[in-house]
Amino acid sequence: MPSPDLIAPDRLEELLGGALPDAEGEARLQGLVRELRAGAPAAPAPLRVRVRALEEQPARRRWALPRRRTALALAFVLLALAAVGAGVALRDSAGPTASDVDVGQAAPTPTVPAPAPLLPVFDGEEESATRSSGRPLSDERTSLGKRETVEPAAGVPVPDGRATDLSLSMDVRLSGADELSAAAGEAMAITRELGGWVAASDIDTKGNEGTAELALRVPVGRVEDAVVRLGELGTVTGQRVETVDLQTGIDRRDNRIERVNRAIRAQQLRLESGTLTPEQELDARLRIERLRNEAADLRRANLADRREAATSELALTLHTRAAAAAQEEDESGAAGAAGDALRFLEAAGVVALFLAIVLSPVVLLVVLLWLALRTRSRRVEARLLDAPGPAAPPPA
Amino acid sequence: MKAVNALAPPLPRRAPLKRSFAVVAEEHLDDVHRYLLMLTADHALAEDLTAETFEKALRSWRRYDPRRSSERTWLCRIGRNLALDHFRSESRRRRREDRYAAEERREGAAPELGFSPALDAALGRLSAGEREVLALRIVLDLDAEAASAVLGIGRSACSMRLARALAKLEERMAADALA
Repeated sequence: MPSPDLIAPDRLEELLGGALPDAEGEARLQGLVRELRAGAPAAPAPLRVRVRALEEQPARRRWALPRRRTALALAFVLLALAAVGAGVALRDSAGPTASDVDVGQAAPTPTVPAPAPLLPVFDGEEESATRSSGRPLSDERTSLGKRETVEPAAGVPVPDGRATDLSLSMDVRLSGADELSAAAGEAMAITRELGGWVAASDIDTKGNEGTAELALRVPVGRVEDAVVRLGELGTVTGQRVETVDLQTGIDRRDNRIERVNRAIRAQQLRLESGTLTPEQELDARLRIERLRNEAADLRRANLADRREAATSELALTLHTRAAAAAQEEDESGAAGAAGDALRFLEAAGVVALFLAIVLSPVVLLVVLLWLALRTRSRRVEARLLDAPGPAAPPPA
Repeated sequence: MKAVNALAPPLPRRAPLKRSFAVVAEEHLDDVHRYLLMLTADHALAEDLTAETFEKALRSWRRYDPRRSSERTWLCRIGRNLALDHFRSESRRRRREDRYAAEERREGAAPELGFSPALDAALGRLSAGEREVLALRIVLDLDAEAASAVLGIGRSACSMRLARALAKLEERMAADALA
């Protein structure tokens, strides 16, 4: 009898489903299938008894957590961890930054003296001192309606001889839009009078309400005067001082300039000695050129820092009562809640991204390991099942 | 006439009812035994593995989900895993013996699988994998989907494996008839 050809899988499925055979080979195949189906033995009686007895045995109670519940519990724990992480991140993001100095708080920069309060803040409590300073200027509002008059007092930490980048911000409340416009003009005039200039201004009035945001640059020696005079424009409701010490960088660069100059001088002496080969002479000239460029860069950086330290930046926000109240309401009402939710989501996103970045290589490794193990297990399985049956003749 | 309310919400799809383990065991004992007998080609081993299969199934009956697979497929999968575990341990044992002693060879007696002697002999010369697919698709009459789920392979691979196994079985039977 000839060796049968491999029957197409689709045709085989049809034949198994009861299709009539078209050829002798197919008829033979169907006969074989019938024989296999008809001749399959039933389970022996002792095995049946054995299996029936299984149920009569007392069930061994094993403690096992269902997989789905375990996965749910794990997901819940991970979510809780993410929420806690997000909360921590949110709290950290709202906390004070290293270079910010709140009014009435110690300065974090060790080289700069702690700034005293610029002016007494309108609020009777220590709100402005306890509020986070990492927020923008508009966040530094104080609650209204306790003390109406403010006596401006000087206390700006004007650095004595040290180059310091001094940034101030002030919130001043005015009674109406007319007063606000007048105060904005007055603030610009005061700035110019003190030798400074207005870097930017944004005045927005509607009806009798409005806000004006002015970015002023004032010579550092006149900052105290500026704060006092700007404070007199209305009621100070918030203020903040931020100092960054520039002197350390300048000193470091000065030292470097000295060393560079010494190196230039040494190279020049080598050149003047007349003992150098042409290659050495060229090398020395190139070095001198490089060192001179470096010294020029350092001097430029120092000059820029000294210029920055010569004036201080003063962000002045003028606002009317209703505008301030509206802004405060924004922060406490539905919009405020939405903002809080958005900030929370942002922080949660940051945490999730962090976790994804940290965990993705581990997850990738685990997936690769799982794939490798699965492939290996399949190969082993195939090898085991490809082995001839116990009745097969032993290999020669 | 039957009135149909098109606005009525569709009835929720209900999960298949889960029967008692005793009923399931009674119904599928023969099938599982046939499958394992074909797979192992060893009566005693098939009986042991069948009993072990039902013991294991009883232990995990609480976790069985009828929506995921039929009872027969689930039982066959348990039986298959147990058989593979047995093959693995046997393979290790044989390797050990090969290393330290002369290999124990079996005589080429045809297994008694309950078919005609010629068919038993031809089946005995097939590999376990080939007998397995014949058992699932022909003897147990599982459809391609259920059989491929038990084997852990794709549907087309399962059909191809069946076609090869049948061709080989026919070839062996033809060769035996000529001899």
